Amino acid sequence: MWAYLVRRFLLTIPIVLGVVLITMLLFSYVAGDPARAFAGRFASKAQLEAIRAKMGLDKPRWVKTAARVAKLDPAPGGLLTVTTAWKHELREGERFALYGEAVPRERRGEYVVEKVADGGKRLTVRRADAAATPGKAAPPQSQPAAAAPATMPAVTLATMPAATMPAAATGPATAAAAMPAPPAKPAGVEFAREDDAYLAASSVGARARGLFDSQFFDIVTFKIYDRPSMRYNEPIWEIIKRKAPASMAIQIPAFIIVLGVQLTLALVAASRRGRWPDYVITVASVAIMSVPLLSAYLFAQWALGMEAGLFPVAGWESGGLTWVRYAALPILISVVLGVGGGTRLYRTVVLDEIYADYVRTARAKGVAGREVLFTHVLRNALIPVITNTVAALPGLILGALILERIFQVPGLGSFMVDALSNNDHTVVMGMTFILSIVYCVLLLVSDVLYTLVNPQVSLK
Amino acid sequence: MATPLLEVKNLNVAFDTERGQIRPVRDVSFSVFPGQTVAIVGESGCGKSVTALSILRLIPQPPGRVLGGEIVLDGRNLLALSEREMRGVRGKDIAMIFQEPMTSLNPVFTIGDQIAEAVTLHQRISNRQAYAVAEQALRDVGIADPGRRLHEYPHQMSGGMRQRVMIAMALSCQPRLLIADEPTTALDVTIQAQILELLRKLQRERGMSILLITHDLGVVAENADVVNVMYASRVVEAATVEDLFDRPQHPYTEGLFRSVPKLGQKIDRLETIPGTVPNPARFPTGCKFHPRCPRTRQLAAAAPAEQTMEAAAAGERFRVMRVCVEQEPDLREVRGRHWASCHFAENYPQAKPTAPQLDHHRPEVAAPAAAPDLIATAAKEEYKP
Amino acid sequence: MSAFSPQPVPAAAPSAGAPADVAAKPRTLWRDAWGRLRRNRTALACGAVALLYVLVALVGFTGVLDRERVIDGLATPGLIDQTLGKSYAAPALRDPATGAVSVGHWFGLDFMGRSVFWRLVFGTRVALTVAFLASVIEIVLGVTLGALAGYFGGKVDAVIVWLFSTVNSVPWILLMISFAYVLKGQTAFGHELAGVPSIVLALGLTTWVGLCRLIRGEVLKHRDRDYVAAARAVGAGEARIVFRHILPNVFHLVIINFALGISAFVHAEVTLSFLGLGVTDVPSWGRMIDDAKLELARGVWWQITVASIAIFIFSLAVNIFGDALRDALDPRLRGVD
Repeated sequence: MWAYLVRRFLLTIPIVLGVVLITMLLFSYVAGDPARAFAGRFASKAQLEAIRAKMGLDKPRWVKTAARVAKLDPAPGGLLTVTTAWKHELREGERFALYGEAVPRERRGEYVVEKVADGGKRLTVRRADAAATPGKAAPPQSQPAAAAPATMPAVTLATMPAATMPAAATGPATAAAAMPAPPAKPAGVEFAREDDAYLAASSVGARARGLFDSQFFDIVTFKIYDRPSMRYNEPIWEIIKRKAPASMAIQIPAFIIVLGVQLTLALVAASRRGRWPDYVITVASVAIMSVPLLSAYLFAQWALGMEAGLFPVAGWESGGLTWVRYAALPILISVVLGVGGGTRLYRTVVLDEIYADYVRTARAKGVAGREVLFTHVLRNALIPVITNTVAALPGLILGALILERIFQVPGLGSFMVDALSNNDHTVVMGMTFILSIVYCVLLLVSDVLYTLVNPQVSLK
Repeated sequence: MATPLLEVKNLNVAFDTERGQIRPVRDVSFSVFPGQTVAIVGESGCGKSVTALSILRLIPQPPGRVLGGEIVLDGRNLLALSEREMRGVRGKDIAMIFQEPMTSLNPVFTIGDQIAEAVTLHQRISNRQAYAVAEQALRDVGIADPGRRLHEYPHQMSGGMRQRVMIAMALSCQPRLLIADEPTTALDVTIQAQILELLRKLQRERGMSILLITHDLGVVAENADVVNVMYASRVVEAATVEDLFDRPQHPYTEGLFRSVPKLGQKIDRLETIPGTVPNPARFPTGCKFHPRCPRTRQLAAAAPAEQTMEAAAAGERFRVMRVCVEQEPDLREVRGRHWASCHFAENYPQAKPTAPQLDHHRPEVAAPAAAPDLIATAAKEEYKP
Repeated sequence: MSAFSPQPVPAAAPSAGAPADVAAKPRTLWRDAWGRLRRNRTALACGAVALLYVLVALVGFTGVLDRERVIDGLATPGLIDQTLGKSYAAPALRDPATGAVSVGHWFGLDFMGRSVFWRLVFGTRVALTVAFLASVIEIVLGVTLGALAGYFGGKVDAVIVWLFSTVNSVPWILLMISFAYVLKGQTAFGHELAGVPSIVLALGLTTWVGLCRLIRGEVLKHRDRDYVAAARAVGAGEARIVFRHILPNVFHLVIINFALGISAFVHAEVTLSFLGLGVTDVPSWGRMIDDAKLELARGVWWQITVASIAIFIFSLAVNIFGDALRDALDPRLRGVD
């Protein structure tokens, strides 16, 4: 059994990872920059940066091989100082490539890191094709072309304007080329827009390290739950803990009651097939299922809440048992609406069993009708019921979406919906991840339950 | 004559289907005496299973309905009992086993649970005692290591073993009548023999009666004392097993016998009864067998024209005796202790329509010294293609 | 032995009872089902109702309702956009201004004075379009992937199972919203993709999972049946086996799924409208109900009521018909009579 569980758990991992993948793809690539979406059109760059940092978007999505470059400054000794906006994984001696539309052509190319400072944000670098220490002969003209990485435009010394030539390249040997006069101090370059300049680590070591510092990694290692929600400014995990009880207070009682009612009605309808109880139950189920949820909620709220004053119209209060007053109407309406679909389904399931041979045997032994139903039939019918029910459980968490909005219940459903409409990226990612984990766990639970309930199936 | 254990008198059952009402059991009468094995033989769809289920009132009430008749056990009409009283009969006085042991046992309960349930339903004993009874019942039907089997599930056993379990369950409360609905049809031939022998042994030990529903004449020949042949919802012939095999009176029975191949027989083609069993929603008029009956056609060929009539079946036209189309024959005692429902059975016009009562037991025969060497006999005759 | 010696009976064609039995028409699943369905009057009535809705939807396509026309030299907006009177006017038989019987007033006017009646009619078109197109996507994806997974097993199956498990785990809402964003402002084939197309895509791409699972299970069951082995023995190729042999045995499930799915899609549109992801530029049932959030409190009941009733009746009819269809196609009931 344990071997099975472990194996299933391992199989779950690709699914969960797949969920994060799809969600990130959808929400990030497809919806545009979450930070900008959240902040609006008029946010300043600094605000955007701050929001990004808060959201954890200052890291690359999947694997960190790149880091955004904020500034390039000349450094003494003909070196360059690269200031990055994000953390990177480079260490001394490692190579990277500098690229980006706003990077002056002469600056593009491969570099080697000489020194790392300022918590990694400032790199002192030299050109890859230059000597490590001044004095070393620079390779002749043809070499830069060979040294440049395949993706980078070849930088030839000949095309470089004299003014921006890194000093290190000048040495006695290079003077042999058509070299202009020693360059004046080159100006620094600052990159204002996000897509302007990047450095891409090309060494294996940096890339490997880069795996562990990406948005994706943050999510799957649960680091994301320490990040705050943009709206509430507390860590997501705290918010979830705070809001969960409200949702559960409605969903769990509703679920249990609905299941009980559904099974009972299904048994009654199936055992009296073709006669009036069956007819009434079936018709009522179908009718209830056909009512639009939204209308039902609105009407119930209006009729029972406003007009009749039986229940509070909306809102929530926790503390002691006061929540019961507020939960009552949502639970009631959930139960009434939920009974429809399940009853029909379970009726079919029970009908499948009622005509089975073993029922005939049981009756031939002298078992009474009701006991046949509730012991023999139900026990067999539980098998598909469990599969169905457990699969529906994840819906509970989000399923309260509309309900919570209309009845102003501060639960996870409305939290999620708010996050979606406010472009609260972190919350969306976090909630999605949790939901997918919950779903997979529940699937596993349902499989295990299934084997417990059905002796013909054993865990392989 | 002794009193019958069970008497079925003029049983009529109807089913309401979307195509109208059909009557799978029409005017069926027979008796079962203590210690007797009564066989009901017929093809699929002739109504034998419905008859059996009706005895225990296991026919689902919509769409089924008992239209009339009596089923008398110990002087009580089972059809008139309340449901609760009937439950007291089921499993206790009369028990039933079915054709498909796999689906007839509940797949989610253990064998022990199911047998114990049968026991506790009718006797006030503790669970532990019930399990002890169950274990003994398994032993009685020849299952080895019954203690372990009690905790197994049906899917863990072979077909033959499951049928034994069914028998054990049925017999756990010592019923006086066991209804066996095609108990061996779903089993291999060798297992079949074992199960039947088991049933015979249990019957001898307990003095139990068996109502054996089957379509297999071989099973009938080896096990039955009395045979009722059913066709198209009615009993068309009833006799002791020896009489039936010796001198069948009804053309349908004759046809059944002819279609059984015999060892040593040299024929090019196996005989069948041409045609198929009629659809209960569209029975022919008169005798339901007349479209397929060789006897009526033969007679019509030699009879004067006004006694015959033209009939058609599946594109074929032929002449049959008029009375066969116009009047359905009833079951009459055409010979001593031999009933048939055919206008042209021996003595039919003078015979009286009574309900069959056959208190007959086959004589115990010692096993023959040596089985007749049929193969040697057959080999002696030359094969002439 | 009786006096009649057995005569060989002329080799007769199989017969069935004396009354001249016409060679019976082959009893296929579909013919049986149709017969059973025909006898179920409630189901037929519901089918007729559904058909009625389709006809009404077709009215929506004629352009009478939504296109601008020139009447008496004036450019008049379509019926769904015309202002017929005061905001939130109650339902009335006649137009209060002219006193003439005006169909447009029968269900009252919305907050912009537009006819609820005509907007409801148009909404039928939207609802049915969404339902139908989403079903098409669902069926194409679900059946294809399910059949492939069930039939070929192995790696193909593993990939497809991973795919639908994953899609299933992503909250449906999220997928919807993503599609709404993506397609906003984009065009294809000269049509704007926001609104109906995005809903259709989103619904289709999330619901295929259920059908896929179902078909996969059924194909798995059928794959090992004897008739498949027989087809292979005759030399049928894989594609032929799947499409010509197995799928027809499984297709009735698709039909049932389609019938019952239509109702689900209509309800989904309502939910989406509530979340602001629904149809934006034209009236739809969902929008009408969503608008009512604010109206009910002010005593304006007509828009939400008629939209809810329209959905209710349609959904009820489709569900009942779908149920009857399922009962009719249930192979277990074959041969009972």
